[in-house]
Amino acid sequence: MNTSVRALLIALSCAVAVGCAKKEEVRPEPTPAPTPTPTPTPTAPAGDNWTDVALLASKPCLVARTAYFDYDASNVRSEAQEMIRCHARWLQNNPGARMTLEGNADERGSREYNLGLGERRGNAVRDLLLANGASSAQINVVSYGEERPVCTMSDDSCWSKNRRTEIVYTVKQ
Amino acid sequence: MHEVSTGSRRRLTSYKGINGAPAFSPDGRQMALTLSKDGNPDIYVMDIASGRLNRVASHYSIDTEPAWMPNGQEILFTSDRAGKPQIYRVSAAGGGSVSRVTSVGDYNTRANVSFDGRKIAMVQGNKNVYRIAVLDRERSDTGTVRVITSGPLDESPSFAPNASMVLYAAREGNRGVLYAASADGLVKQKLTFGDGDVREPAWGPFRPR
Repeated sequence: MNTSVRALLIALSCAVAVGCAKKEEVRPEPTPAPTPTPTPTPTAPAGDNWTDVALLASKPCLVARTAYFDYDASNVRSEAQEMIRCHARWLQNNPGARMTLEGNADERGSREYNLGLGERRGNAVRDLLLANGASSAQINVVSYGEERPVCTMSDDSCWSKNRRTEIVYTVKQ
Repeated sequence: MHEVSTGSRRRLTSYKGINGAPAFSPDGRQMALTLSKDGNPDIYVMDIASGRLNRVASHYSIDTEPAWMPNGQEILFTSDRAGKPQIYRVSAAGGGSVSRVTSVGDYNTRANVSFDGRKIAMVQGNKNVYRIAVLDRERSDTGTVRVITSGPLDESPSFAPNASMVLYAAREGNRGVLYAASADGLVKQKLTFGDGDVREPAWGPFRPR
């Protein structure tokens, strides 16, 4: 809902801008001599500019967006911590950025308990983000429990893929 | 809440976080439910007419899956406050102490109570097999536990109104299917009705009064 409203607003403001631009053109003022349009500057290679949105798609620790968990556990494993700190740095450098953390559980056991487990896994990632510089207004946590598996076989390999928190950016910058 | 007789619906809760596991009290005037609006799932009892909420179980762990005892005075719920999920009991009026009901195993969840309060069905699991167990409190308060299904992914037990059978959902391939087992575990039968995914079965409340 929010995103669609936002998209609509963006679309509207574009339309308004275009309208204004046309009006400007109609004005009978001497147009300045046409200068050759500068060739668009090539987007800078994503370096360490932590506000360059291209970084989100190029820096390995920002491209990784899933933290996995042990059975019936919600502590963040050591191998996911660097990735989460990396996203925390992004949030810190981009105060307008927003994300939803989607917590999930494997199919074993009861559904409502798994809903709680998914939420706790989302909260665990949130807490680590907050401890590393993100602000709470940037993060929303939702749990899908066992209802959104990425892998549907009933075995250990699938279960381990389903016990996860996914980072989903709703606003990138 | 969906009013079956009139078809009308109204939303009872829309808090941030989990709004789940609703369970009507035996007299239909209250609803026990799980809300995580304060940061983690806790058990609440709502007076349906007024919408007033009373938190009856609160802990930083997961508290969920409330089930009413037939007298309407107590609620069973799942909590992992001791590290692993187990079933606990608390006064439905709140303020009382919380006592642990299950003692065997690492995973006992989703209690469902027989009409006479003597039997409690639950999901009992370890990492590999999740089965339905019945805690029979007929002879002692701690009771005896009998596993009545074979797993591996059984869930959502629901006692028949006369407590002789337990409906539950089992997993076959990628489908949930409906089963019924006798409360003593001697008889088990699959109930088929075509395709589709079965989850969270419950006995209908429509019985002659």
